[in-house]
Amino acid sequence: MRRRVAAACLGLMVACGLASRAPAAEPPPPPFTGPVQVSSLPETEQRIWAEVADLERAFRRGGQLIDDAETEAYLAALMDRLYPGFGPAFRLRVIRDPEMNAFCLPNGGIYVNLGLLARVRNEDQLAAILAHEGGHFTHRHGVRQHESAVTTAAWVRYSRLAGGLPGKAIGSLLGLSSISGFSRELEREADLAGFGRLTAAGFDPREAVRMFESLYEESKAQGLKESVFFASHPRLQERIESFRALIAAAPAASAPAASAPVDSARLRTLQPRLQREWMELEASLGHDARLIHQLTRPDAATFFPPEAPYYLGEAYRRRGDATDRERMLAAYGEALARAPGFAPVHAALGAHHFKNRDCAAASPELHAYLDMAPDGPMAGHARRMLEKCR
Amino acid sequence: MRASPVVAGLLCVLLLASCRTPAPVPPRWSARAAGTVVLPRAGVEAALPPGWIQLDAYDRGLLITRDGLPMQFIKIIRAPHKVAFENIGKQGAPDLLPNELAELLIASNKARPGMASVAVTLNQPAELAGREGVKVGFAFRNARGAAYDELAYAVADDDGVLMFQYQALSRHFFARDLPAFEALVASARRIDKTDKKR
Repeated sequence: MRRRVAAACLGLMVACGLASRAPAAEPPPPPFTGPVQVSSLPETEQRIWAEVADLERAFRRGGQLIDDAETEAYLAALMDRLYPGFGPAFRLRVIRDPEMNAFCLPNGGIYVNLGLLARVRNEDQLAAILAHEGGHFTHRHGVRQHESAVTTAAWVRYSRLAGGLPGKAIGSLLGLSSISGFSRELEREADLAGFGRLTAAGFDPREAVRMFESLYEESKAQGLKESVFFASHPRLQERIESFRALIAAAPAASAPAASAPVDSARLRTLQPRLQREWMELEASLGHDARLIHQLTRPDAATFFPPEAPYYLGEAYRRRGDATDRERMLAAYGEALARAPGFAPVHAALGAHHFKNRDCAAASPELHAYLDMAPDGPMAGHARRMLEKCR
Repeated sequence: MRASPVVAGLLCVLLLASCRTPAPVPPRWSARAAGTVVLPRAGVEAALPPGWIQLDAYDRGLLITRDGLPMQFIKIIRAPHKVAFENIGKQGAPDLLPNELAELLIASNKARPGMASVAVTLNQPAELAGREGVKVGFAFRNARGAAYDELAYAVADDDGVLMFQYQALSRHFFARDLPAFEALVASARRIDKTDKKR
């Protein structure tokens, strides 16, 4: 039944999209150059803004947003550097999503995924994404995308984020393309606009290429889906090619400005907390392939917090390939060495030995866990295992 | 312009077809008398709480509610290991430790649409139908902001994963109907192979 309803909805969306393509193309609306008065917008655009506000409410009500004033303030400052003079036109929020992604709604709401903040290697990379997303807003891609078909991916994506389709938000399907990615033409325009902002603010656009390439390698090697910003391999490859072409066309502008050095220190102070939350989220979702890929990267030991090897060990345990047992134990050992006060690794080791009917090895680990975290999430299980060992 | 006889005939046929008496539709819900219900496919029997009604169309086990699905429901589900956690690309196994089963339940729940931010409120070993399993609690809000609580008991055995799941609006309903669910869980008993055939 759900499939039939979904198919009907998709059919309707495609039909509406095709129908809306029919009229002769009008010239695109002029880009925004600063804060926007909603009342000054054309009626259609005002309606779009109102509809995406419904979407934003659904994110908030559904508990999708992370209340993190410090990170939001940091992101707002970064955006201000990229888009000086726009001020409150952009509203930046952190969304609890493990994918490496961000999206901009037509009303200037920019949603940055936890997975992006946890995984960008420096401020240049983060700035590249924000500059690109800002370009979607300034060039009013929300209203322009309204003139073309709504994509299937948008529907799927929205359903996943908002946990259903509130009646009032049905009309804001047009806002969904903001989430799932715009048309090829609009993405290129956002690349161009973002590139200009990025270089003008003194960021190094070559870092964006490095990030895209690394993501491309990850998705290729793991067969992973990077949704939204990096929705598919061709789209990711397009970003790489687009950025390379822009850098080649403006080599002087692409060299980072010495007058405005990029300092990732503030990002690096925020990241450990965000990375812990991201690792926990990925682990709880069972995204083992991505955890393994990320936590075995050459810089993982210095880039991720000391508890990271525990999450790597857990990912190996869940994956359970032929050689994963040794890898798991090695990762747990590294976690013990790097984060001796981190209780979950003791629970993991205790459970491993218990499963192998080795109570002599399991008991000290389980006791250690209970000493450190008597009310921890594994406490009940640890006590039960100890009872059985007796 | 005159309609061709063929078109007119077709229209008549369609008109007549639409007047055909519809086949009787079986009732979607039926009242369940309180008492023991045997669920051969799930391999259990349990004493149902009084005053709850059953969704007949639910074919994966048993689905009952007292005030309507948005208010509260109880599901009894039996899933073979191959499909128990297919939404996260994992399988169950008879030798899963309770904490491993809980881990799969949590991942599977979080992978449901809009549930990535679900909070795990409880995770402890528990018995279900005479076997050692797990009891996991969740709290979440739907897209309209309504808060829900969920409690699930699950065991893994040779036949797959058996789960008793209770979900209700946090406000008023969850606490009110929790004793009915706990009583249902406490009454659960495995039925043997010969019972399953009846």
